[in-house]
Amino acid sequence: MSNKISEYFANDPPSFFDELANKPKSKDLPAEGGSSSNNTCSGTNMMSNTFTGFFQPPEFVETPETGEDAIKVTDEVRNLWELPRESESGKLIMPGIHLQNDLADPISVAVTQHLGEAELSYRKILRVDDVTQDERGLRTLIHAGCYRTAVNLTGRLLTIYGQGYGRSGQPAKHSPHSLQLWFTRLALLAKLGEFELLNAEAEPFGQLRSADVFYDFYPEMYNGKSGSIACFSFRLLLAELPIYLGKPHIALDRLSELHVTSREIKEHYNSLRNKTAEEFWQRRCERVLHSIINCGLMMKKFGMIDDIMEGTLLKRSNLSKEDQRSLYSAWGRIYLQIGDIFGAEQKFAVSRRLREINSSPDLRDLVDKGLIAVAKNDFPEAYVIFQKALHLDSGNTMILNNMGVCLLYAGKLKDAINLYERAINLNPQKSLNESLLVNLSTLYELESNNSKAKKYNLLRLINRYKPDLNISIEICLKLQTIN
Amino acid sequence: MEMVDPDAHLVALKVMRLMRPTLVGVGPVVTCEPTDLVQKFSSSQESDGISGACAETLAAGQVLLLPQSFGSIYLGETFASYICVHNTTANPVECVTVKADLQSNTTRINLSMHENAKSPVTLAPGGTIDDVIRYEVKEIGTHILVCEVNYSTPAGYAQSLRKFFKFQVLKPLDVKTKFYNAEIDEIYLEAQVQNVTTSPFCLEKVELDGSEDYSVTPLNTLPNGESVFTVKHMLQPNNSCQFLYCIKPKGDIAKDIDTLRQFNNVGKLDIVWRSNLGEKGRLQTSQLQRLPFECKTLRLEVLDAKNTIKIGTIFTFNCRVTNTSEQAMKLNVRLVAKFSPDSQYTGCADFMLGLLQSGESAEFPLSVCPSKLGLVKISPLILTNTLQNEQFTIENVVDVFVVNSDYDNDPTTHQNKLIRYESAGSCLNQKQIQLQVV
Repeated sequence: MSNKISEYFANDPPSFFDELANKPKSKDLPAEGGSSSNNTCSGTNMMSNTFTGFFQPPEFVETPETGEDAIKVTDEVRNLWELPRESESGKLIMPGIHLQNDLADPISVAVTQHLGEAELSYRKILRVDDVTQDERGLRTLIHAGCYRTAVNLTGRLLTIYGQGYGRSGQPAKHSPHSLQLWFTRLALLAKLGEFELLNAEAEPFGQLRSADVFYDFYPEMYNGKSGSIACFSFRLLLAELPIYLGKPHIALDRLSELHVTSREIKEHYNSLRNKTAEEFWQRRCERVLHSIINCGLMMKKFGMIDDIMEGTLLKRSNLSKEDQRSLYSAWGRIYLQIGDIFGAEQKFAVSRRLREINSSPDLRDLVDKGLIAVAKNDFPEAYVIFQKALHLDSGNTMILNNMGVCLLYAGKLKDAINLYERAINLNPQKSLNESLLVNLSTLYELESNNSKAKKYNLLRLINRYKPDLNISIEICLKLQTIN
Repeated sequence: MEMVDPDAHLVALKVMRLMRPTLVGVGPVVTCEPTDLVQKFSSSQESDGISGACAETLAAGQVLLLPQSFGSIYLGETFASYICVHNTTANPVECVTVKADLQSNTTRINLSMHENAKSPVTLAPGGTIDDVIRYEVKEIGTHILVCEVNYSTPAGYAQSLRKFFKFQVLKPLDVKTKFYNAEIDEIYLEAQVQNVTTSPFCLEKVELDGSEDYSVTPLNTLPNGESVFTVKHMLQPNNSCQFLYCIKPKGDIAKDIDTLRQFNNVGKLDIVWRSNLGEKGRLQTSQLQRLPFECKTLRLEVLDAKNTIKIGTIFTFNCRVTNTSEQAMKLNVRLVAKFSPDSQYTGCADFMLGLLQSGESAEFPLSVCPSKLGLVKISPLILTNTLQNEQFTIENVVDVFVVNSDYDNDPTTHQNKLIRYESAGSCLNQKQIQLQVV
């Protein structure tokens, strides 16, 4: 008997799920019928044909240029950056867009492939022509979460600057505005997970060390002004870029360099006794350190993370209590990832103690507590804690997502599916996020052989409500692409 | 067993391994400053989680993601799996039972599911029987999860659906030990725990559970109670951590050398580690064996010796010599001090002790006057059994730390008992230890 088993198994690699491919075609029920016959306790929850809504762009209100808590400094302070001495003076930055057409919408592609073109009539996200062809339009698109459309708008605007498709390698003139457009475009590509295109288009910029991205390069045009034309966020993005390409050690080198320079500038303003400017650069240093910690997380350099947290980030004297709490909480969650429950509990306890005396646990406390219960393998307890958190912020997708995971580990698959479907019902535009979709698709596959119908149902909803996803829809919904 | 086309079954059987979920963030962290062109990179729909605070650019996520692959499983961890049987037809399916067995190279264990699964039930259309099974894996090597569903077709035929999931249980850590037999009955154990998995983990507990004959004092914390390790017992792949324990025989056996020789089991190392989001593993070593005492004929204990004395004062220590041989002995005691400028102390002794029967002991004081600062070693002490004319040379009788006369002496560093065996070589050897599930 037992040797028969191994024979049986020889051709069967260990699989996470039973293969979807084995599924009988006849059992693929149409999505509309998803609840009619084969679902006793779930399914009535969520049917795409009960949804009459569409994607609604949220109202966009222009905010004043600087936020309330932002430190206000002069352009000179903001742009201070030393022109690299041995700057590859001959080498100039000659960028160009690598796409001839607009960035394709993978959701439309998947919908056409799996549901048919007719379904696309329900897709009503913002298109480039729905907004003004300027930075206000860009902001509207980003606020609405229509990142791909925003990328396409940057493409149009950069083409006006003569830096469009095919212009890579041809001389370009840089201005604060053109570099801001580039930064916006590349940052959006990072957000969308379009790392290949991002890498290709970012390549000409290097680390922004060429002379032509400094005011010093254009003495007539800028009246002898000096400093960096490219914004600091752009430098940070380029330094971080290797993280996305799976090379955190390179990013770590670049970020360290960025941090050294930022600290020098901070020290410079300290010696000039310019408090505001010093504080402004201090924040930039910290922002770089956050990215260094993110590198450390990828490289599992937890000792380095401890050093930065303890030695630098938590040392700043004017850190507000709320800032301290959030740092301790994040630090605790880093400990949890490694499995150090005691360490995590210690950090969370500090975070808790920093809360106003006599105030009741807030969302942060409850989420941290719930995660500790997860680490201790007490999923029913974790569920109860997350439920409390949900009372403080009903409809919070992150909490609903975590509750569903707890239900599964507690042996309540159907309840977990119900919960997710209800969350989507409640607020499809918000709930249909990447992690919830991956989790729900995983549950569908575990539940039955009919997962494809249910996943197509999700695809219909994504089609209606989601402008973009930052991972591929095939991965999100675990759809096998049909060749 | 009758082979059926799996597609022909009325029920579907699905299995998913439940290792701990992963903690993820919301995707690439992209930020800009308010003065940049777009002012803000987050859409109104993304403001989930706990925002507004300064740590939001840290990728320490709050979102739980279900496992997306089988992953690795290590000895001492718990294999947990979700099993779901689903009626895929539009009619009820009767007499459904589910059974899950885990087969290793040597055993086959039935993993219990909840009551529903045991007695035959009728499964409504779309209905499921589902539960989580758990088992702490106790063996390295190939394991096969065998799931079996039995049910009746509408025509009343018994049907059976089986699925097999094969996985490898790997070794998580290597433990090496070294024993040192110290001067008295004390034994020191050095245990080296190495992470042989592919990702870092956190050693939550490494404890030596003393056997009933020995008591254990761990020596891995600083006086303030903190661990001597800096980075929270975190072990990167292939890295090791060393732990030190002091082991003493308990009262009864400590007194009697013969008994002491018989009881060599000092205890077991109990190791608990955790990896991703608290995934726990636990292993124990087999009984660790202390090094046997070599055959001895006498034993020397140093009683009441100070650790530290001031220079210029007399260092007096009391010795006790025990005849551990079968025969009576008459001992001559001779402490030799070299008469040379670099000699560390002055003072010598040469006297006879009374007749010592087997098992008897005698006490005597010895005094020297250290002439150098620092650690002074009193050596050698030569004991000669005049009856047999055999000589025992004890190389390192006692050490004393000689300080300047203005040194503020700390009274707590006073050691009261030292024992030296006549042939206590530096006994140490490193040994690889077998691990087992508790």
